[in-house]
Amino acid sequence: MSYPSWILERSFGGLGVAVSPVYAASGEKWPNGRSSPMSSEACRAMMMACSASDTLGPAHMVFLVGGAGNGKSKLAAEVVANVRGIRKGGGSVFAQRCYEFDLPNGRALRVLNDATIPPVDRQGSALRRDIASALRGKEHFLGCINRGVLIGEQSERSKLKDDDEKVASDIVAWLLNGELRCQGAEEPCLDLVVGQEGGNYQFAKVRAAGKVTAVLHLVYMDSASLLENWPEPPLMEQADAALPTVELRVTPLGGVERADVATAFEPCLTNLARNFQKELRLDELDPIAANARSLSKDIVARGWCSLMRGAEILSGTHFSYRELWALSAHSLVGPASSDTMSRLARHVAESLEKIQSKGIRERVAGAVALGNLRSHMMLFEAGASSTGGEANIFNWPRTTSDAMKAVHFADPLKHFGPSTGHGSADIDEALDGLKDGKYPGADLVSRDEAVGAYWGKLDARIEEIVQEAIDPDKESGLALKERSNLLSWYGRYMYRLVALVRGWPAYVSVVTAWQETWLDAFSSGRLDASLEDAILEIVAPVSEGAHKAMFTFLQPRVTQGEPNAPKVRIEIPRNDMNLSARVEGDRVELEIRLRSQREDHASAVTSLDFHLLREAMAGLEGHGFTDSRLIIEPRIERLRAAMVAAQMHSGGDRNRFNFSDRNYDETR
Amino acid sequence: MAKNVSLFGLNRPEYPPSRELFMSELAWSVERNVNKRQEKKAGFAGYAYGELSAKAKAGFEFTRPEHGSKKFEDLCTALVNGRKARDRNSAAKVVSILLEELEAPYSSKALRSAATPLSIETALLQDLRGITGKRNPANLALNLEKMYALGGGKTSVAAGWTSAVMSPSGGGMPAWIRDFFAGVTPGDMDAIVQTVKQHGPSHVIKDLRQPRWLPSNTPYSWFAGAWDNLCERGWVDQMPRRRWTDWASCVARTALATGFMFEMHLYRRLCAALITEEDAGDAVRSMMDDSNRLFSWDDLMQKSAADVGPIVRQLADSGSACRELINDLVSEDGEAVPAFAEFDQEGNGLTSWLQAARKVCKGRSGFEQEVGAAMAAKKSGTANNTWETIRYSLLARSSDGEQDLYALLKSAGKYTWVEPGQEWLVTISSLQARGPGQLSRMTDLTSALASIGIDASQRTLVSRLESYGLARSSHDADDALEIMPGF
Repeated sequence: MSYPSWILERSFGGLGVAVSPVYAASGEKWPNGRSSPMSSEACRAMMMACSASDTLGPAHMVFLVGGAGNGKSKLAAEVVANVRGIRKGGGSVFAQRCYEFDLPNGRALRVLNDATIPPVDRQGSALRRDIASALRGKEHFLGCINRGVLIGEQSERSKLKDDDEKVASDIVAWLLNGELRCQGAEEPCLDLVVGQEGGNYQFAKVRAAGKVTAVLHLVYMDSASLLENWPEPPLMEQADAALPTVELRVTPLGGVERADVATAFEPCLTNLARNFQKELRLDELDPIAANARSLSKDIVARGWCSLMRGAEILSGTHFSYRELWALSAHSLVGPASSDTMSRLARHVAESLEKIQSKGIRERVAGAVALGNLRSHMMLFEAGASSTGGEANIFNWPRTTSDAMKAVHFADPLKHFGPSTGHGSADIDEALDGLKDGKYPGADLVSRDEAVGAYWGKLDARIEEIVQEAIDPDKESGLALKERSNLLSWYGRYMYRLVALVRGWPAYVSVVTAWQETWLDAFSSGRLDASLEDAILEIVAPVSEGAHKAMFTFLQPRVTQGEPNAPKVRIEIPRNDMNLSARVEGDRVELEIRLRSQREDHASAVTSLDFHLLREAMAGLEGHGFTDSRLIIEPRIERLRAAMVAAQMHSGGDRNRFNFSDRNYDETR
Repeated sequence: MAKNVSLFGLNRPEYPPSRELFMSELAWSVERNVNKRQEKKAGFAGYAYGELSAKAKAGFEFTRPEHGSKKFEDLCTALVNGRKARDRNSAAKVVSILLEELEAPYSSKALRSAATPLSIETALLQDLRGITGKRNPANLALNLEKMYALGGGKTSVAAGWTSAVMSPSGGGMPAWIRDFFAGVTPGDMDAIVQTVKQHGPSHVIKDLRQPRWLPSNTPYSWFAGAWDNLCERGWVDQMPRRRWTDWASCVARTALATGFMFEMHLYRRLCAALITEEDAGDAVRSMMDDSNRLFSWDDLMQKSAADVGPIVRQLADSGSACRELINDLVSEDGEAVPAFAEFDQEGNGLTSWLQAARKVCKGRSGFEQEVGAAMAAKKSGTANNTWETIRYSLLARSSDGEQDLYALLKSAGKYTWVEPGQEWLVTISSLQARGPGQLSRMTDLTSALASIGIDASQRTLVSRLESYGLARSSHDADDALEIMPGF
């Protein structure tokens, strides 16, 4: 008995081959996921330009900006496959930086496959040179670029002599932050036509001698979470113009709509689980088969995606396809490797034998061992730490990755269910029934469709064994401590199961609030009024009844200052602080502007992340501080320092200062 | 004229007991360069801000205005006239508060205190002699200038600093506070202040060494880049002046220590290479590569394994002994080892020097034993001063209950390990950005750390940057992280 090993191709540490423009991965078993919003459309516009019968139109440039695993090379491969170009130069088995093609209409297409691969001559500013070269040759250009390259290639326009190099350097600056630094000042120049506020698509044109010589589509590939719903963009109307855009969506986990919308990754997971399940001919009690069966259900996959979305938000990260495929594989077979697959199969077979044995201890050991291999347990435990050879726990190879770290942080055991609901009380009550001969899981199955979709024969068998072992009326022979440990394990089992199918990561209420805040920021650029106050209270606390925050500025740290200490402090009235919020892809950036400021740019900027929001919510709800305070403090202190510097600069002579020591306190 | 025998021309260092002295000495170096003045008056021992002990105070001039002194009264008058105090009593309180705030933290054993060098005037409120009590302390500013030049610095350390603190936009300090602190300076120093203000921004020191063979990832190149960035690209306007001054001290003390570590490392390795058969080019490449990992930094490492105390000791002891040995070889009459400076213009100058030196030393009687003794030397000659300079520049030194936020090393019991203060990493990583508000990458930070000899574990860096709120969305930049600047 064994499990299909192809699932390891895209697991953590898997050897799945990266796609390149001249090599498209065969993905029969791995479903094809959707490309990031607007990316397919931008590539389609380029394909149309490449297929044009003449070479009169402007060159098309498509820039796909994002990290590895977001599908840039897959799109590039699709473009290359569709344009019928003849590749210039010799081929190589290794991925190359650039591929050049002659198109049937006589024009050239340059595909920058991976900007992190250095050019043959190892010269710096390679991206700028590639773009300038394409501009010079009026070539179509498709660039797959990550931000690290863009940060490293920022250069001053004034130091460049060549016109195409100047425009290329403007383009590199535009790609990094979407801002144009030299609009229309001289020609040739880059003109921004459409800037999608808070979105992931921008369009610009290069103009020379009054004529448009190139049209540019910029798509940020990782701005939209794969764990949110992606609406279909409207149809393209004109190939050389800005594409009709679609707004990115966020559906709060705690909202009723969440259960009704499919996320972009959901069909990938269900189809993968189905493809995997098809190849399994195993015992119905096999946990790996049970995982495939559970995750192939839409409602379960929806819960799984919500939980992963929570992990994304809690850790402030972005899960690309690469990470989500690995997490999917992890949910099906754990952090297995080719070495451990056969050992895993043996472990399952032995555990299945154990649950058939007569001794209750054996049966319990078997049930726990099998239960630990269910998706909802493996996600948070398997490979997280060395197991030390405990009998009931499979000895997984230790597996670490940022994605796993994020998922562990979202373990629902840390903080279960919405703060307003009765989720944990219901489960506690159901679990209490175990002692009275009841079956809490089976009971939940009848009441909760999602639990019912996940629940299988293995779960029912595990519950029977657990019930039997801890039933005080039955002489199981288990010591009190063993029963207590078993009950504790089953509690973890049920809590995580319910959380997974309902899509509740830890702190689901904070995650929901963050998503609501994203929506507020996206639609109005502001936060909810009470949240705004709570954040300002953290950044610029005022004493009771006062409306003015005081900050030291001659000390190593900018603080409120201790009372009675000989200090000078600058005053910033709370209502002089204007807090706004801006969406940048899947981030919410908070910006503080002071009334006294003459400049447009914010005096202090920070991201609204889980810790800052949690701390603000704790303040709002009157809970005082949380342990997030320690984490945000260095950042908050720098915000204050930046605000104080701005106030000193812009307030000028109008600034007020407070002087205090033990016996003296005066503000002037 | 004596032969220049030194590898880089650096003078032997002495650790300045107060962080404020870095900027003060830069300010004084401008004045000394212009006026070449020898001695203020007979018996004059130096300037200090505050008097902390009645012991050994003869000859020192204390610049903190005493309560009731004319200077103190003048400051009160200025505050009343400027409407910063309602009456004379209030003004006296405010003056006391501001003078207290100006005093930099000091250790419990200190005899004299320094003022925080927020401006040219306050930097001149003390000097190295006044704080150390030494008659002829090592020239701190000159060593910094030499390191800056070695790193390819275009102007001078003092020029960058004076230009930044004279920022016309105010640079993180209210105008009236700037004026107040300017008024603290004793009247007889007005000419000195004017000299530094006038000549500081154009201050240059000619004929400093800039060997072409030095690679671009040394502590010197890091120092020149970070200093220019800090002083020229608007950082001074983005944060309170006190913070900017702390950043400047942080860069200076880190550069001083790691600059001497690098020098000691090269002396050791060159000395050892004199008696090996290894290809000279390979030997030089290897010593340069190894200079990027003199210290390891991994928060998960056991303290005993992470202990860098013995490394500093060995670098200082054996490096100093090797330096003396090589200096002797270069100074010898007759067929001596050539001076390093003769190879400054060659791209492979150090390799050429090694080849030439090997030829001279070949067959020299007992030479292997001499090298062996130097490599195993304990506390020879100037080693202790070098050791102190490296160790105490980098070590967290809390004073008066205040945490040292800008140190690189921590020490407890018999171990010393890399555990930077929060603001150390904020400063180093921020200065890898092109300017305030600009992003940098993990690869920029690891390169900067390697330049100053630190081999940092990626997981440690990520965890630290995240906890300081500097890491941003983690998978899209090179080495998987974008780093936001502190300001």
